[in-house]
Amino acid sequence: MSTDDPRTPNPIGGPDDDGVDAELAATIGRSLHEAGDAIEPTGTWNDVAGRLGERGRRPSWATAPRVLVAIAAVAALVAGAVSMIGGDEDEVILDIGADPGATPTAVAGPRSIVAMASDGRTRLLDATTGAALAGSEAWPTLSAPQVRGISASHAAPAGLGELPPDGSTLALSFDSGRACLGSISLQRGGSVFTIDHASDPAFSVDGDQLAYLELDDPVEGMTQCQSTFVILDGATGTTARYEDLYSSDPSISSLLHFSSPSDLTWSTDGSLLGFTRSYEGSTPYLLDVASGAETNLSPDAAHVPERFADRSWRLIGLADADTWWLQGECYAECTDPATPVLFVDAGEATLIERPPDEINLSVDPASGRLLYERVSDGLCADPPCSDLRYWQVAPSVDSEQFVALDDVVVAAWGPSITVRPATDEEIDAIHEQQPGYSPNNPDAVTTLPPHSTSGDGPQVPDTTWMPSPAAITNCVRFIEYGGVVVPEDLKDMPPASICEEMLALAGPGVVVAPVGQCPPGGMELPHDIAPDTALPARVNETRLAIFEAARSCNWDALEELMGDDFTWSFGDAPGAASARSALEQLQAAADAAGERGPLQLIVGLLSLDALDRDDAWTWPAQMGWNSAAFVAGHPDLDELAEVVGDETMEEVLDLQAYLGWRLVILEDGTWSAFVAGD
Amino acid sequence: MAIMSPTADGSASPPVVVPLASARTQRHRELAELFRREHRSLVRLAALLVDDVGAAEEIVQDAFVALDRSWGEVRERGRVDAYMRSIVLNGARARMRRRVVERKHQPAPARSAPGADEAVLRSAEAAEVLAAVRTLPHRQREVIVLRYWSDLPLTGIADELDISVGSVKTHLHRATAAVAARLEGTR
Repeated sequence: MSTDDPRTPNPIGGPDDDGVDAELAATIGRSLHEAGDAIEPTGTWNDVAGRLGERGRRPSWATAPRVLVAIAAVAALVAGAVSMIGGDEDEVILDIGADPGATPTAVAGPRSIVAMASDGRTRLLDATTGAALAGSEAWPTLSAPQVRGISASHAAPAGLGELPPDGSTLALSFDSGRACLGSISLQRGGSVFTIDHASDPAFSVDGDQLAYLELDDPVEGMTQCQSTFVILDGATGTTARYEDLYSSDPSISSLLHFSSPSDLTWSTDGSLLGFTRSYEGSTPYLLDVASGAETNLSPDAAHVPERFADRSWRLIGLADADTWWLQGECYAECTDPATPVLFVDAGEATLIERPPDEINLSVDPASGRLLYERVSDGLCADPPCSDLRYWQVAPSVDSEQFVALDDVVVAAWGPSITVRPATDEEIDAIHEQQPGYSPNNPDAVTTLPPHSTSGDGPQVPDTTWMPSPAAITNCVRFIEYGGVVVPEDLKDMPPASICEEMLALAGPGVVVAPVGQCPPGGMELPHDIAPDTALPARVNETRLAIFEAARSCNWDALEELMGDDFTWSFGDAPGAASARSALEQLQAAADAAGERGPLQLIVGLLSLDALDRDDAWTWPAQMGWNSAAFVAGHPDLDELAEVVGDETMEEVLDLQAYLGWRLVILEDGTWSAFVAGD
Repeated sequence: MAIMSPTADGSASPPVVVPLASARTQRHRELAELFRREHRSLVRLAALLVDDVGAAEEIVQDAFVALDRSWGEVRERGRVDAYMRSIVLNGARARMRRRVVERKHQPAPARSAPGADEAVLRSAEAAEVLAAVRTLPHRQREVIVLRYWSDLPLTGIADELDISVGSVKTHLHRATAAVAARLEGTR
């Protein structure tokens, strides 16, 4: 074993290179390996292979309010022909026959399911009755298409005028397996139109416009396809084309490292086209159809929002520093109730809080109601179904209350897929998991987490949309390369000023920043802190409340928490009338300098240990250390340095005492002081 | 761009389609090989983080499905193993967070299968260490498992969790101190 092996005891004892006692490290290493080796996985490759090609579990809307079909539920399990469909008015059962020769692919649309049968034919089925839609039997043999859009429109886009006038049009996108050679197939009844060198078709909500990307071979020096946005307008018969500068100008591409656009989607009013670019995740953009101006919606590269939702939904994405979305699937922290949801529709951005612990979200374009899916493990009563999923409907995306109406639908899958309303027993089981939940009772509400205060109207945090520095940088680059339409009255200004003006304006493509979080201020801020059982309950309660208020930059809440005899001494905030105003002054100065201010310090200090002395608890505990303990390299000092900064820590080590910012809570839970200095 | 029209008799012209089968088959072959090589280790890593072998299996399965979707990009970067570990870590974190939320709504603690049954552990000491690890905050738990199970250096853990080396040290120090305290209490 190497000396770096944690299981190797340090022969001379004492701490190892990590600062951990070598014998302890060896014990932990040995124990973890023993525990790990005792675990024998039972999963097989076949378990995984059966799921490959799954496209995510986003619920979509069907004609009957009670019938919802989850895309992935179908996609993952349509491994053969749909051989029988049955069920009564409230229940749809898709019986999937075993058909090992079939290619598993299927997608649910607003009213339909597309299934790839074993004979290689694509069938469009009515989601509510299971009947094959007219003409679908005549469709030619296809292979593994991605269904990217279904238009139930009465009118065909004029640019594709040869499509028959009635019935749904289905847009299928084919990946050729070679770059820049994808194709789109538009199908209506037995008619098929193919657009070569194209990808990512998307119908507008009214079905009158079709947007897609036209692909060309990469220009010299680049690897990504040249892309051009094409919009066929059925109402006017015109075609609009927008060249994508990212993919046609090597200087921009090398500068920004973004990929070609993908995942086109429309705003409900047809004025904006949303799309994503890949850059260590998916980054959302908006294309203003009228002007051709592009806007990056991602406040900075650290925020990696979800890709645009399919087709016409208004849901644009989720933006949170700790949220990692990959092609629509969330892989981290996505159930954090504090994760904001960003909706963009007709240029107006609305930021609301997520309802707690939901998994998937979508929005009904007709009603604007929010649909969210919950997964309930353990409710599956009839194996081999893996779990039950159910959906709830919120009355509006603007509501702060998520009311469980009677649209509670349960899907279970296995050899067949059943979609039906929840039974009373299942509702009881759901109720046990969520006290207060009650379907069929509009009075029963699930309120948002405590940090969302009640009030009239949309639950939009009290904030001003602020463009981030990264957004301004991006904007400047766009201006320099002609990618932004600059208003006449701003043209004479420097690019950075133009961007500040433009980004501050409300309107299409406004860049918004996640709010409700303290800015990092040059340090890694903890998202939450655990209750400290060593503290008296009231002290702990106040500590958590202060942390939450500071973490969310909630000055009102902070002021409320300050006790009557709150002590503050802020030499750098002359003339401040109150502790709050003094702290706000200091914070503003720190924010301007990009440094940590009182809010960051409060958040950081409260994540450390406290000193218990004279019925008061003081953060940080280093306030009570004797001078001999202040030795460079002590882990607790490293931890403190993370909060107060290296410069302050140098002074601390010089003085062999901590006289920096400290926060005091009394035994009765009163926040008595936040002071610095001797 | 070429738009094809229906033929005169009304039947459709066959679309120009290049089958995906060959590329996908090759990709799945490589994924299967990766599964054979890494699956057990990844499940064990996840199980040490979530205490539930069934959940760990699901997390790893999800990771393979995700990898399938971004195979070309990830493979090109040559960081498949690191990518998989990241997805598993994130999946475990999401699972634990969801569990916290669920527990808020449950009158009794959620039942879960034991991740590494203490009964099969050879030593009482190992059982104590595992019990102590289970009580750690998730970030500390990630750090201690990555350090002593995955044998990653501090810098590797910092990269993996996107935090500073100083933070890794802090978490590691706290985690090992908690384990030490538990061991001390049983002696």
